[in-house]
Amino acid sequence: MQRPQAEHKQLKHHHSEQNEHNSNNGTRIAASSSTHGLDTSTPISAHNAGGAAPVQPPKSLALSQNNYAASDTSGEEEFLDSRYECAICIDWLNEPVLTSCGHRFCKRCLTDWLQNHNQCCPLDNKQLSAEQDIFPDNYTRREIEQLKHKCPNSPLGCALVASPIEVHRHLPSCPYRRQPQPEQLEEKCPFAKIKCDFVGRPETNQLEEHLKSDMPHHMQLMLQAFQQTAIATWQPQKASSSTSTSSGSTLKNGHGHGHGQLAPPPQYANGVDEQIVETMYQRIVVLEQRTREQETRIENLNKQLRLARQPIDPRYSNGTIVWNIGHLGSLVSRLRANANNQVYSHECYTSPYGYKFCARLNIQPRKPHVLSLHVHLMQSENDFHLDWPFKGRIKLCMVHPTDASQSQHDTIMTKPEILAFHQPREAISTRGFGFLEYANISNIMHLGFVADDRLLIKIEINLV
Amino acid sequence: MANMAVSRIKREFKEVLRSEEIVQCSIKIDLVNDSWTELRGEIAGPPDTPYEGGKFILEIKVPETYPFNPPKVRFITRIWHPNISSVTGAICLDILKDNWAAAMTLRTVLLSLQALLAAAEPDDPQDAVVAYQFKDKYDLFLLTAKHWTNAYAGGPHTFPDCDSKIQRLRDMGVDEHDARGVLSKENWNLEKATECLFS
Repeated sequence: MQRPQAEHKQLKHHHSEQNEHNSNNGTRIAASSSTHGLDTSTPISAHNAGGAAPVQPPKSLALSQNNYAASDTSGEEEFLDSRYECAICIDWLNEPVLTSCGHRFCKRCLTDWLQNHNQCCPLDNKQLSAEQDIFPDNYTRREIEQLKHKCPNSPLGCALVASPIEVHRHLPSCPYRRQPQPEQLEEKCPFAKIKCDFVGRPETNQLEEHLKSDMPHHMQLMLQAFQQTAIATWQPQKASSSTSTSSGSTLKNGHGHGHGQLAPPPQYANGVDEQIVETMYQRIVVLEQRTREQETRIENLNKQLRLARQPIDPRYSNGTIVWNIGHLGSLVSRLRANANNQVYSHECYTSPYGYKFCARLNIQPRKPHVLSLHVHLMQSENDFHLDWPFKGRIKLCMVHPTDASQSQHDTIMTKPEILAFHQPREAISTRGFGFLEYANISNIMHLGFVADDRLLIKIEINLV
Repeated sequence: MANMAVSRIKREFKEVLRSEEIVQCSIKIDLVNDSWTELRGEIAGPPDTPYEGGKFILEIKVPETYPFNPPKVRFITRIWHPNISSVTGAICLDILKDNWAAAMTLRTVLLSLQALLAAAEPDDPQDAVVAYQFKDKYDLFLLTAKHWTNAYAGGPHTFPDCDSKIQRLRDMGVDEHDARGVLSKENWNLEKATECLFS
């Protein structure tokens, strides 16, 4: 009499557990609904049959449930008592042994440990000798044997109740164990429905690659599948009815003309639709033509825009550099950060076949509050026929944006002994001529030379 | 992987998930692949240390012979600490080498590493440069460790002076991490660091 009662309780427990699972998540629902198929005699299935017919879980759900099983906390572990736990495998003590320092381990685990390492207890590092310090702990073995645990597959119908060690041994051969599903290791292409037979391994990105590279193949499969559906759903009698309407009147009239029926859905191999397709096709041709015309126009406009944006040829600058220096604040901090940072202006020619110059700004590390401004000769294609050294007058002007009378003017006359005016040997002559201390930066800011974070320097270079 | 290693790692994983430390957000563990051979740990910098407020990511590789041999652990987050390589993240900790015991778990390893952050052993260093700074210029060590925690682990202390020196080196075309490493090594002396980089 005792036994059936126990079983009844167990079922009740099972029942409540299942309700909880039902409300928990989708994966658990899949697990419990598959149970219904197995034990039809239990009251649970009756309860469920009252609701709706048991629904076969979709395959994807079943798969994810199987993945989930890896982190499943089955009842067996909830009871794992630290007294009966082996510190090496963190599992039930299997053939427990006791050390002389008072720790219990599985016999296998401790022998493996002592063989692999110096002869110490894994818990307190006490020296252990395999012969003298290890004793079988039959007391604990009996204690564990007397514990009664359900098989973790009991929700699936396994009625085994035994000691945890026996349950462990029974698991691999449990008739109710979850069947290993080899497909779990494969990843099917989402286009498998339309006969793409690609299968990848989930740990690689093969599927992703396949989806990227085999797009044309998928398109073709889709077209085939579509044609097949079209053929399969084509009903000749409908075609004949619509041809009769089209012969009598237009399609629109055909709507009302039928015997109170709706117009047939669009089909292939149908005269009216062919007409529609033809008009659509013509329309597409017209639109494509127009798109192409528009594209050409856009291209032409872009070309014009590019031409308009090209800077003026420095050849025709007549020896004048109008240097508009933007973002002065950040420029100054960049120049100050490193003595090697400098900024060059665009180039100018004194005449179309004359000397080529540019200007340079930098900040001396020793004098971080003043800007240096130098003029540099540049190599040009005219150098060979010009007279060297360059002789002329260089006017520097820092332009005041609002008050022209405040603009700062400086004039330099060249001297033949200054190396900066000799024929340059590099693209930009390494020697420049100008002012090491051209302007005090705080003065520039203070006197209003900088408007909108811009500074304008004008340089005129003339021959004399 | 050997059956024992897998089943143990699974149990340990659950142990960490259930532990108190995870509630306090001081340690964390994540799976990297399905074979349970590689995991990703995370420890919070312990309070009252230069690492406070930082989150440090660890790479944990479980050998087939686990738990008879220790897991291979390395810092992925860069850190300035005498017992951790500032370049590779390799850790010098006895329990990850000779003093490993099979009764130790991922949880105890993570907690030991946290303890290591709180109590460095400069006499048994992994990174000699850091250890020298720790012993010789402790104030600079604290500053550097806090700066690294801020730069790599999301720590709260910022050091504009360090940042600007790094920026100076970056302006010369030096990689940010290299710049930080050399400056830290040279006790934040910009001239010496530049010399070291360009000579």
